[in-house]
Amino acid sequence: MDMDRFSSAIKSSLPALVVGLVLVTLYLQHFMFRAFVEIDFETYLRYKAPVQVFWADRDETFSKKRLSTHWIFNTQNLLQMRVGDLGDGAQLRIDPLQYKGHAKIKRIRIEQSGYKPLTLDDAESLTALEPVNHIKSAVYQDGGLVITTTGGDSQLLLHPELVRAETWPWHHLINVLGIMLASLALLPALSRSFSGHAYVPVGLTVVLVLATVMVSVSQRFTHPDEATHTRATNYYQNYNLPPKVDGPEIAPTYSAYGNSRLYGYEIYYFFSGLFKRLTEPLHIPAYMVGRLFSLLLLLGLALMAYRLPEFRVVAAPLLITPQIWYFFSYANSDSYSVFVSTVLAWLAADSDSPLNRFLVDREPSAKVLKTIALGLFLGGMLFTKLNYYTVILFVGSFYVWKYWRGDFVDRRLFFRRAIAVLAVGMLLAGCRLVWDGVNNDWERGERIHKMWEKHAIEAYKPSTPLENKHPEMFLRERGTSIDDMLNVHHWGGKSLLSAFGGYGHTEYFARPAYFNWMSGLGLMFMALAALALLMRGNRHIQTLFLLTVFFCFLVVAISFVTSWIRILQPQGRYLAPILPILGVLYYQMRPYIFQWVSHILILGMFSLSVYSFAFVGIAEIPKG
Amino acid sequence: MRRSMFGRYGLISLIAGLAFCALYWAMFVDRAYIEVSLTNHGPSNTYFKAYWPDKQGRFHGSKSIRLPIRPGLNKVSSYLVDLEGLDRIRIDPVDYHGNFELHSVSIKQSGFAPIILKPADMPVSMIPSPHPPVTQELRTNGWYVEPVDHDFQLILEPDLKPAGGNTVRNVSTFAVILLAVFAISFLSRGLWRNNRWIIVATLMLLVAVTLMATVSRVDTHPDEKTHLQAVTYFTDHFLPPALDDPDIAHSYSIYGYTRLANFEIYYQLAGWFSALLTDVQLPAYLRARTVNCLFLLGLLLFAIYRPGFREFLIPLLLTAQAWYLFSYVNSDAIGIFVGLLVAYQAAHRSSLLNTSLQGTATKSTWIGLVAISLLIGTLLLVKPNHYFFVLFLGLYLLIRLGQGDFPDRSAFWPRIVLVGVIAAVPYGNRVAMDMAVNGIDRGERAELYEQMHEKHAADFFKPSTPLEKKHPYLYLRERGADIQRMIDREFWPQKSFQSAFGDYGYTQYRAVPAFFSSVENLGLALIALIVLTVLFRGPPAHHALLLATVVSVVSLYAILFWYSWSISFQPQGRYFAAMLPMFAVVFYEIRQYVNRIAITSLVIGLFALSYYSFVFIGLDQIGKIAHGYGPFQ
Repeated sequence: MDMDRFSSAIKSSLPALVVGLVLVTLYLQHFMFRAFVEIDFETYLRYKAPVQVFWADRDETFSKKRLSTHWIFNTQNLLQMRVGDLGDGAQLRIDPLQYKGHAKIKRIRIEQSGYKPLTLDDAESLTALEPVNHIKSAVYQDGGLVITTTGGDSQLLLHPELVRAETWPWHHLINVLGIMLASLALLPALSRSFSGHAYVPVGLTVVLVLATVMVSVSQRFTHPDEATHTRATNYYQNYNLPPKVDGPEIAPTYSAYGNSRLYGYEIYYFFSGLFKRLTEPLHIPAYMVGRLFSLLLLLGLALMAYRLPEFRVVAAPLLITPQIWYFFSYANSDSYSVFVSTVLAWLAADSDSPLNRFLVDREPSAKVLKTIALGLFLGGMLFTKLNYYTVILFVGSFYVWKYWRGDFVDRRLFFRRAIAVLAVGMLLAGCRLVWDGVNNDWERGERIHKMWEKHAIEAYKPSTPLENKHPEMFLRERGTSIDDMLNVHHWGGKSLLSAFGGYGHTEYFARPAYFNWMSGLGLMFMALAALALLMRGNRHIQTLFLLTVFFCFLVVAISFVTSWIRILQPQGRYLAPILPILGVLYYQMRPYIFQWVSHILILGMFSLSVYSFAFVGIAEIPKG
Repeated sequence: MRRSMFGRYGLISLIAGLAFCALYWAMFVDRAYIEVSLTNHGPSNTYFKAYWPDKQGRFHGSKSIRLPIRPGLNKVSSYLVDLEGLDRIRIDPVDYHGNFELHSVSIKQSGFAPIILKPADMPVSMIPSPHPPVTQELRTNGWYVEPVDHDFQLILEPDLKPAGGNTVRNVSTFAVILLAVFAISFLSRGLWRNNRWIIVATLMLLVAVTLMATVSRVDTHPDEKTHLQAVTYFTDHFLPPALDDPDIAHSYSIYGYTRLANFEIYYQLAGWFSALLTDVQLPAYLRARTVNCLFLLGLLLFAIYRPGFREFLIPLLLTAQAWYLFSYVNSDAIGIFVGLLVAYQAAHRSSLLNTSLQGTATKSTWIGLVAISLLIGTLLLVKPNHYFFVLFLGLYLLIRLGQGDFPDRSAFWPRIVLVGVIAAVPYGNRVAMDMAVNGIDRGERAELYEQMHEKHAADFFKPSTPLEKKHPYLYLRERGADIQRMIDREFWPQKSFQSAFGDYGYTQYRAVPAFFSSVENLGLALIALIVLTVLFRGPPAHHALLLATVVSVVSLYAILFWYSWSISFQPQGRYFAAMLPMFAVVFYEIRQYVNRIAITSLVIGLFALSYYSFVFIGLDQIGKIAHGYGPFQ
């Protein structure tokens, strides 16, 4: 091989080598220079409680930066964690109980590459654990070290004496070589998938399979409000039009809050009910029909991404959090709202989309048909979940921005078309409003209030005095400050966790490290976008960036205020409208940001999301 | 766009849409659906059966459904047939002599009022046949019956009353199906170029397989524990063990065999690879399962880089049983992996092997040729059923020679000999390793193994145990079972077929019979399409290829049958996996003249059924890790 070919080969594989080296560094840092600790721990709990393990170098003090927390809710627990380097006289501190009680440590196993594994499982070895704080006694009996705590922060100290292994851990060399070879083999395929965002449909296909498996294996009604959504769907299996708010036929749809999903204007229930009616001959259980409907919407998104290259760009943010995927794996109305919001984002962002072409095309074919179709779609947006109205508002502002940028040369034509389309949409929305008015004798509000009073359980009834109401209701009225919302009720932390992978009734989460990685990558992406637009962007794109930031804050603020003034619901799914908004911004800012880096960051978040969805969500969810 | 939408492509979509509508109508709408709740008071599993009469008014097995029921309360349901015009159906609630209690029976058919029988209606609406029961009584929740003989039947005269009101729904359903087919075919057009759909399908199955590997419990899959013990041995050993090494005593199964005694390369590869993952701190079974998942990933990556290889993955899409093999610790997956790669090298005209043998390859391909020879050699180090693929390869090579594919004989012969010699190296190496440990004398080794067999086998399986005391599924032929019994009473073909297309766990989880009949229909259509196409359109060489395939497939089938009959009854479809690479070669050879639309439709049909079976039966029903104890948390 001559020098030219050699150097060009090196040059073409440079990105793979760089990525390979990053992975090798991570590998070595994680697996070669860090110890793995496993503690067999027994206690008797009434509530979920934390066990904390700190580590520190010789003569160093313990800090929360080097801490592994385990929430336990069983009697027998196997706590596994990767801590820092325990090789050179490091110390380990175990805080077994935060209250007065008993616990038993049956075994501690420590493994670190290059050292012999250390197991403490008998009287002699386990009594090396030195009681430091709030420990009344630590005695070896019945196969374990029985600890009695006095309350407060109990602590046990251990100086693990790891002995060097006789042979060097040679397998790291092979693994490093394997990682480099895998990078060289995988990266060309990956970088090929960067062109035209080809990885988006592929990623959505992966999501489709994951969601299908969640649909198949998870227990009936184990997902948030699945039962309520399913019952609302059942109504439209038998009826074509929205119900009277006090109609007896919707009695089964009331929740404990005294609310029925059928009060809202969400058209999801109509479509899923229709789907249920059409699939009656298949004899599928009601909850499963709702789940299949969600899957079909996801299939629709994936297929659109295969077919429409521009759609892929707008849909790329759907890959960055598994919480969105979760919507598509059970019966709920968010799936529909995300679906139509993403389509709306594409219609707005892509200058060659049917909507944008219609707005500028002088002689469009089938003009009336297009006006009606686009109008119905846009009007239909009003029948999504309330928090998705921010997407509508954003898209409205986006068109103002486009207008300002000068996208519409023939302004009169633009206004004419826009008004025609909006008129059809408003007509549709108006029909619904009129129907609701007539059907409820123009007393809808009062009747809903009556029904609320009638169907809510005591803690949620409007007539119940504030002090007897559910303690998480009307927090502002009860005097809770914003500070308390964040620091006592942990609104921010809980929302973040459940925005990036909380499953079941927000019970199953990945480890904190996952969320650290997720927020790290997310922040990097934001920083990248902000920097690129600041340094390379023009005033148009910078304005759009600010507009997007404003609307994202608006989504967050609405969720926060609802939690504060109505009922505490720190749930990340309420933040989902951010994604289609980000999709529009991402589409517009492509020319300004470093594409390669953004692809890597999106795929990084996608990989973490796959981990969370498959190995936390599917693995942990209760199964039938 | 409009032209293409409503041109040939549009026509195909329309035909597909109409076909789906017809299928939907025939399979789901124009049929009755029965739901039964009953308590089986008998001690064992049995079947609920329902029959409908043929034109002569007789009941027989081909016009019936059979649903498994357990002791205790059961709720079963199934589609029947179009009941319109039928004067009676026969119900066998429990297919043996036993007592039962029927709680409810409902029969629904679109367009008719449902027939719902409550316990009080049952003695009137269902006439016992041929004899009235010994005892019957109406209890609070059901109709309790003690039959006279084991063939207790009830005759029900379905009184269907037209209810109407479904026309709008049915028309809407057809409209939605047509619209969906048009939308899907419009949106998926890019996938048909360059066989990209095969990549997408393989990716889908890879994700499903990875999930099966991670959520299913250890040893919930066939023989996983035995495989795992063999793999674990090699995590800290390089050479194979001495057969009487006390360290491997635990790896002997109750049959008295150890996987470490055979020459399958899988155990070494998986063991060594598991050793590399020591620091990942995953349970041993998960580290070992990674290996088979990586084989599948390897196939996918190769297909991404080599578009020519994509067609060779088609056979893999046809059956979920093959996917299952990639999702737990077993030595079958490597056979498929190596087989498909070798099939590509053997058949694809621009593969390295073919270009080398044709003398058109460049100098730098020698290393590649050595690697491919070693890969071919690996075929001898997989499960013996894959040797039938080697037989097929030999026949295929002869056919290719016969049709003059290798005109440059001076290039062909030395290279094929070289390939043969190098291919023998892995096997030779494995024998040498074994000799180093177990001695050069093979007879002595066999004798030692026989002793170990006697020592470790459970009494049922010891060679010294007299035949009559051996396990009843051993040596059936010697015990006097004839072929007819193997087919009619032991259901060897049926069990083998089912476990070739979707049996999970210890073959206890499988889809309903309708699934298997759909697979059978599509499979037969695919075979018919291939055979007829080759016969009518193929060149003589392809007639020979068809014959070679039939010979290899039938030989494999026959030997598996013979093994089950003469040695140990093992009707397991996974042994047929060796056929997949053969089919890959056939698919590739006939690609030029076979009807693409027909073959793709049938393959996608089988893929969809397999996906359903794997996700909604396999993954749903397999024993899973306890909730809250995920190994990745």
